[in-house]
Amino acid sequence: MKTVALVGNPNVGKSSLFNAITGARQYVANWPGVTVSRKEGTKTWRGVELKFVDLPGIYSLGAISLDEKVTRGYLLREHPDVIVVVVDALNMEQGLFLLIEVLEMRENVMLVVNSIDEARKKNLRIDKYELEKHFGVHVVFTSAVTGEGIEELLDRILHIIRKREVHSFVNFKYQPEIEERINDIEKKIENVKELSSYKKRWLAIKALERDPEVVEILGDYNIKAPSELEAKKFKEMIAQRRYEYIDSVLREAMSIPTKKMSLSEALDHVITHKFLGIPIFLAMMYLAFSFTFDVMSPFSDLIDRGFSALGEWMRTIMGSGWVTSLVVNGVIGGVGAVLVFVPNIFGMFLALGFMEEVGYLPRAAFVIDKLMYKLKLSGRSFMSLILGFGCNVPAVMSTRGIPDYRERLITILVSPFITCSARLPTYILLAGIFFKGKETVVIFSIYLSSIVLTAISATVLNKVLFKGQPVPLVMELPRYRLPSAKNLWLYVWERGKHFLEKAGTIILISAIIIWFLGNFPSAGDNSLAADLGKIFEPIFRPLGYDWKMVTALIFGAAAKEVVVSTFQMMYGNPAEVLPSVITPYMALSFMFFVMAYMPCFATVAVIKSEAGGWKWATFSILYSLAVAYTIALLISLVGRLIW
Amino acid sequence: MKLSEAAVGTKVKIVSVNFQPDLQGRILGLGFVPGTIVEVVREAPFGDPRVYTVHGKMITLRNSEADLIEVQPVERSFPLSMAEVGKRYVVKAFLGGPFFMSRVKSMGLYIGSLIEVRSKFPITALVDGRIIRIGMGMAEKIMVEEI
Repeated sequence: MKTVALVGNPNVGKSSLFNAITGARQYVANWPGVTVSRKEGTKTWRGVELKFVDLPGIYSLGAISLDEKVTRGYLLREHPDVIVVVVDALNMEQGLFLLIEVLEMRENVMLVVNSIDEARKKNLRIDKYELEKHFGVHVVFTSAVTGEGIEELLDRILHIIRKREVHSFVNFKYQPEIEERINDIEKKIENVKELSSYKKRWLAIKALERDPEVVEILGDYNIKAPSELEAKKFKEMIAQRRYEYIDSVLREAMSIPTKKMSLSEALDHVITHKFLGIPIFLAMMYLAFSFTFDVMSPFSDLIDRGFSALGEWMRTIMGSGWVTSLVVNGVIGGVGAVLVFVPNIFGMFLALGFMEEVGYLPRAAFVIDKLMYKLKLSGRSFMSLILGFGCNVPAVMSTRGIPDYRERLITILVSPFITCSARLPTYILLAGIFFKGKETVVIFSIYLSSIVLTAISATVLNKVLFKGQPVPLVMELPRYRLPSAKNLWLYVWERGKHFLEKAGTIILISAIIIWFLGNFPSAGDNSLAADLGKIFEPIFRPLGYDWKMVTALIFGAAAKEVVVSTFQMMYGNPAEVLPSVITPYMALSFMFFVMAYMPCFATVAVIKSEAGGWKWATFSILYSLAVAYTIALLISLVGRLIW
Repeated sequence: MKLSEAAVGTKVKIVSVNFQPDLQGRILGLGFVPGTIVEVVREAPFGDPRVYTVHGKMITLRNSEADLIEVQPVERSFPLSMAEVGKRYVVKAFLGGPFFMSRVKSMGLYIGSLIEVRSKFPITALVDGRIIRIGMGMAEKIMVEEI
């Protein structure tokens, strides 16, 4: 099998091209040791099996950001057979900058100019042969939308595999001062056998720029890098010369069409407008929210009814007995309660995917950035947090799009404080019993507190963990694109299927465990669940909770919906029994505890996989427990004084 | 002048890029290299961040980031807000409504007035032998040329 690596800037349609080539034959894994996802897919072309690796979108091959490190490390060490640099036909400059960097580093490179159909629509003519001549690579024009050029691209890839390409790239020279320094370093490198797997010129250029990795490699052989001050000057000169070259090539290779206000600019004028920007942003959020919950809820109801019917049917054919109870109450009840949310989750990803593919998401981030900046986050993390009102699992998962690790981690850690829909049943039940007539005010205040708590947590965590360095917002606003159904579906499926997998694993297992704990040795007061509740009861005595409430909290850790069903099981009829057990302020304190306390199992699992290890998952559990306990205790204490 | 001080709608030329080494590479790669012309496209609500066009791409930078890029005006006339301390300018146009026009008139500013900038934020300037103060918002609407 031959490997083909796709490299390019973000937003050049690289992933669409990847989808167009490999179709559904792709899978996503994580790069070893880091949480950047690695997309691979296969395609058999003229009898040759090709493995395509879609590398993260980057602007330069530095070794600073995670995406850059991953891409550079891959190109440097894993030796793909062909490297395809993808650039956007409407805006090639930054892509060609990357091409020059790749050419300096490796052989067997080719160039793909994507979105050629859009360029043609704008009367933009690009001369393929000028590009081939000046960059010394094969060039193919493609359109991931119409499929144009993809066969030619595959043929060229096979051609390069058969007849390896060595790029001389002779036309391009840096300023004399730089070339002289490059020569000096190259001469020193020549004498070191161990460095023969690298391109000498690349090592020399990177040494001049004081690239940390290269400086370390060369340091082992006593080859010195310039001072920091010199390196800054060289870096600027090198980048400057590359862009001069690109501009001069493009002047020959491209006809510039007459400029008129494009639809994209007109849209931007309104959507990112100084005054309209934020109202439009709120309207878009509301639409996404309402699509996720209102449009999708009939499907949820349908699934809910399906599971109830399945349960009833199982009961009729299996009769009564503990096995039936396990299957119906444990497995079907437990897993079904979660699968009911599948339509919401897919709906949410569809809304999010649409906004991302069409190019709205970076604009939303741009508009809201100033507010988020106060929390040392950016507009991007706001998008993830808002998803948390539906379910924290997709909220945490959607942080994958946040480029900055620090911001991503903070967003992951605070997102469980956003009160998800699974907690709503608890609020409704308790508010209905204890605060009749004032339910709306009480529940609204919980939602409000949830937002405030999230904001405070973000600020505190940033201060404590990262000493509050602001996250840079260097972001491209890509032009608007109408997403294809195929890309949207792949977007939704790729993200949504994790949820299905989790329902089949962690949630199934916890449902079975809870059923056993609740029913052995016998159901009710003597069950293991009761024992468990009684063990932890002393801790909750200052809050005034009895052991049944404690048991509900413990079970609710698996999935927050379970709190209410445990109440049902323990008290029989909570509406009649509870008022004699606890006072209204204890109920309020309990609601706040449920709002803030540990993320459910599914969320813990995604925090672990997304934040990279048990360390952060454990931190999240302990931190939220501490916060929940503090808030609940305060309410209990203040309540005791007032009532 | 810093890129963050360039008025919306104007074009400026990059003189130097002074980020920390970790971000410097990415900023240069994006096309913010010395000699490049950058257009200030738009600002977000509350004036921060702003969008710039550089080598055909629209890139957002927070003002704290744009502070690290030194630029100079390229067009002959530009807003007074982009003027440099110690230099002399001639007023070429006013880009405001009737209220704005009456305000500049009351300050003794006319098309053709000579202005010597003494300090900035806000601008204090010598006009016809008198020192006047001009807010940065007003200064964005007064187009000048250097003499």
